[in-house]
Amino acid sequence: MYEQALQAVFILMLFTAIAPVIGFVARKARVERVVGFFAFAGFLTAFFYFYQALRSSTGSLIYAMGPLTSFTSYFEFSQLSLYFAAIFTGISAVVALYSLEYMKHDTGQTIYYTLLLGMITGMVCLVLSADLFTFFVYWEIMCITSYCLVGFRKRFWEPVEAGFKYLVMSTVGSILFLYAFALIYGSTGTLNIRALSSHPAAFAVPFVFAPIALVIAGFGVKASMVPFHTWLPDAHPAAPSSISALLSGIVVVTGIYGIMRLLLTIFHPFHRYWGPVLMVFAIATMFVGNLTALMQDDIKRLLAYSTIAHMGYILYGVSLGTLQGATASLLHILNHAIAKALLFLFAGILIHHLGTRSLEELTGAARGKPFLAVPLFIGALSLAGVPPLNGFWSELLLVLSGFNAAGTMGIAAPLGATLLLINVAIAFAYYLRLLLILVFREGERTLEKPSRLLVLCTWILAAMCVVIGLYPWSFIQAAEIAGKALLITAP
Amino acid sequence: MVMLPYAPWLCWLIPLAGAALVPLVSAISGKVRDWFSVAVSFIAAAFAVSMIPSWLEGITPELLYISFPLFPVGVLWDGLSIFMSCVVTCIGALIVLYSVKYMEGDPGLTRYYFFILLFIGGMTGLVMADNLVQLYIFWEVVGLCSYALIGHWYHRPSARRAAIKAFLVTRVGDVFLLLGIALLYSYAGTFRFAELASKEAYLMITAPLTAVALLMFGGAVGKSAQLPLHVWLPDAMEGPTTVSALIHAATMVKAGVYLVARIYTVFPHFLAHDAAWLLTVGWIGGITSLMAATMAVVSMDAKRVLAYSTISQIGFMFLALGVGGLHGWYPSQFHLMSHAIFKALLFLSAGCVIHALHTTDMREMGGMARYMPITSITALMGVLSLGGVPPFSGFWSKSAVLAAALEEGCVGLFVLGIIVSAITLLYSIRWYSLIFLGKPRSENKVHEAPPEMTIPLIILAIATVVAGATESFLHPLGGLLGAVADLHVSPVEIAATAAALGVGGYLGWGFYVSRMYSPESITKTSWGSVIYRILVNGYYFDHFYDRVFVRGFIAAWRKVRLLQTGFLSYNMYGVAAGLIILALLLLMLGVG
Repeated sequence: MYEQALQAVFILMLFTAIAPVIGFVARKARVERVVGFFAFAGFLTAFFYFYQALRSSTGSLIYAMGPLTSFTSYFEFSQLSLYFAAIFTGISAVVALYSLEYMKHDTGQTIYYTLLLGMITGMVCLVLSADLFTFFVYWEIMCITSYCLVGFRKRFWEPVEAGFKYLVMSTVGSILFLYAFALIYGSTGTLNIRALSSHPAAFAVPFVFAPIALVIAGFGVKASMVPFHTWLPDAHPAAPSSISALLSGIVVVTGIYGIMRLLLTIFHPFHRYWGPVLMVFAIATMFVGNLTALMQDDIKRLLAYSTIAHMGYILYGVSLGTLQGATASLLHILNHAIAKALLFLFAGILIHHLGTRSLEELTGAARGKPFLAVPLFIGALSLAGVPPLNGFWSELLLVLSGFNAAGTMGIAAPLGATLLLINVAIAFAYYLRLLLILVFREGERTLEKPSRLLVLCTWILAAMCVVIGLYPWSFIQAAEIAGKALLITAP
Repeated sequence: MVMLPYAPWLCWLIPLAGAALVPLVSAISGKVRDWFSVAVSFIAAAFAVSMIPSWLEGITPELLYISFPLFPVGVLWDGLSIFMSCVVTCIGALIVLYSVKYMEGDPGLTRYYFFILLFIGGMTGLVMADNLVQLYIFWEVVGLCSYALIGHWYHRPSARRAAIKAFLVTRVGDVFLLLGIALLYSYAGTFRFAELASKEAYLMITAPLTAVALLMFGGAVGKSAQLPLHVWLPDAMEGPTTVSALIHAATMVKAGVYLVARIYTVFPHFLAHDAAWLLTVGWIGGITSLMAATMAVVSMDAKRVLAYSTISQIGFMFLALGVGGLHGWYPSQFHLMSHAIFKALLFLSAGCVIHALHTTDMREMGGMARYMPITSITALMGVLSLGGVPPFSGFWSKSAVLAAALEEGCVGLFVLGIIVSAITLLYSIRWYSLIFLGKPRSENKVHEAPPEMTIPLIILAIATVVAGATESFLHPLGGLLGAVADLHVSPVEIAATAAALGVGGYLGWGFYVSRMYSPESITKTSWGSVIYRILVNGYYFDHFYDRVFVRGFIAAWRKVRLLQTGFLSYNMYGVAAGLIILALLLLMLGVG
């Protein structure tokens, strides 16, 4: 039943292409908002199709885009790519709905929604790519659109500076892994992921370390791995909140996807070399993210640092190199995307109505307002890993897989799991601080009449947190099947 | 008598479902919501109690077991679980009944009843859980509820601080518990208690069970407020008194004792001979018990005295568990029950006084016996039970603990227990005398509390007598726990207990009732003032944590902050450095 997924890809591409036309016409008719509804409809339809395809299909399907030549790009529809595609389109549907209200007063809505559609199309196609060249092309489509979205409010200096920083650093990352792809092609003569995974003998120690190091560093920039993370705390707060939600929730995940695909699928036989190295970086990422987040005053910067910490948790799961570790990471990608998007959208509500990002000035903003405080609580406690919310299950799975990996990785894996748990405990302090400041303390500015649509979006995501938290089994199963598709070479 | 259908499930699902319905019911009217909550908690208690006859007759009902992959869901059917669920739901129900009048007129009552029912349901779910993951989930739910309820009056900065402190400190313990669970799972491959117990012999050889048990005890230390993680409990008095009663008597702090008792039933053969584990549990319990009791002697806050006494009594239960063998296990649970009853009684009695005077400072109380006869009599029974005076339940359970310590040859713990008993009686008398005896130190006009508040008091007061004095009650309890109370009470134990009660009672009488001596005469001396200052500051634990973890961190962070300039060119150095580190690490692993 992968045909539905193919249709969804075409829908996304088509919508991206005709969004400027619709926007142009709508602007002439003075109803530019229509393009927002159009983008929302596109995401929702695509999500529905991807979800149906994920539910109803097994195995995988390779699909050639265009005529068969030596440069034909291939798409691979599998449980793995659809798992990501469904997360991407699902979150962006909520964000598009949110943007209808949030971006109402901005100029250039046509450009905004076109870029948004382009970015998500790029992301969906990059996870569907069956060869590394196609992957790189869609990667760059995603990157270019996201630079523009970070710097979307170009009349302010901060977004422009942050966008530029993001552009430079991300491009360096792209160059690094492009070089890795070149090395891979040089030693094997193919860029097809499936073909690469089936003959690992083409690589030899120590020459394989060059592509491995370049891949970790190159994707590490996008995945905000310490010390390549420095662009993120500037770029995520500077973007409009709807875009921050996407950047923190799903765009950074593409970096993780790149690392997973290259290391777990292609370089899995060399796990005993890259596993411990990646774990060291993962743990450094957690500590830097959490300890820095503790002292932030800017609400979006705090959330951005928390994203860095969560990428550390996910990378830890990848570094274990086991199916259980990959499952835990994939599940955490889903849970983190939902909860982090929720918190950024929530921050957006405060910024939209009160015009500040400073926690000190936002003190008491959600005080005595249960309809605002409840989704905030759910999002923050979910990220803090409090049961019965969704974040708990993936953090539990990460720790369990760490202890279970002691057989292959020795004492390092349980030690890493211990450090991960210590990080969860540290992180708890700033989530509670966030709740304390926004909900419990009395302040001068309380949010009196927030927009209903914006609040509704946070409630949708909060409901997802609770649903996954109370009934995690089918989501764990989906993550596990996706993990199996990732680890096709593993014994 | 027939068990109510699906009682092992419904005794915790009913309060949870009730909690979910509270926001809806509150839309009808405030009164309906209050009495709805009372009804839900009493129904849950009825379901829990209905399990006892079937258990005693040895009937095992059909237990639903949902075998979800990886994380199955099920309930336990054994004496400890049933006993604990009865204690939790019954005490909980009485406290909810008491809340109706005590909390009347509070603006946040919907939130209050939601979390109270969630608290009761969570704790009952915790004790009925048949596997470690389910237990851990409810363990955290209980922590979440305590956070919400301690911070119920969040307009007070001290309440907000106390709530965050409670959640954070207990979460440090949770890290240990989760590590213990993960470590055990990586060897055993299952979370279920029954399967773990059946694999005990195998696990004794292959798995580091001592480490597992100690890590889980670490979780219990956080939740049950033992040294060095006890600092959250005295501050938790910022919550409403009913919440304190619930936390201390039925839910939350008892979870740690339950957990240790539960791992004991899972690995009985191993833990009975594991010296490292037994010594850790016993001595942490014993030392906590002593230190908390001494802090209770100097505190001037009516609720903080009770908080320190809870820490001390929970320490006493761990002391019993550390004695080892069924001899220690059974008294610890017996003491848990009697503590649940008298501590709920004391908190609710204190609540009546606080409700009338609007203060928790004992210097503004006094002479309450004249105005509140029922409360003063029930409080007296609670105090005597806490102090371990016969024939109240506290006496029987404490002497069971002490007898067990002596029988297993733990002389050090026995001596510690005797000293604690003496101090306990001293501060019990002090607490009662400062509140109820003497001349009134407040001008407020005070009346006896309304029947909604006194009825739970009377029920609990009767229970303190019945639970200890009725021989016929003890034996079913022993059977319920799977152990017969065949303790040999030695003359040494009787003499020592009598001496402890004599010393404690004499000092208490002399200082606080007859006023032969004045406490100031001791605190004025140079040594006395130093000791007094140490005790009032709680052995400086809070100062230490604040200095090291809070201020130390902030100072370190300020220095690190200077490294983050935000300049793009410096950031590029970071990328280059990262790449070099990566390459070096890979080469080290590859060559080495």
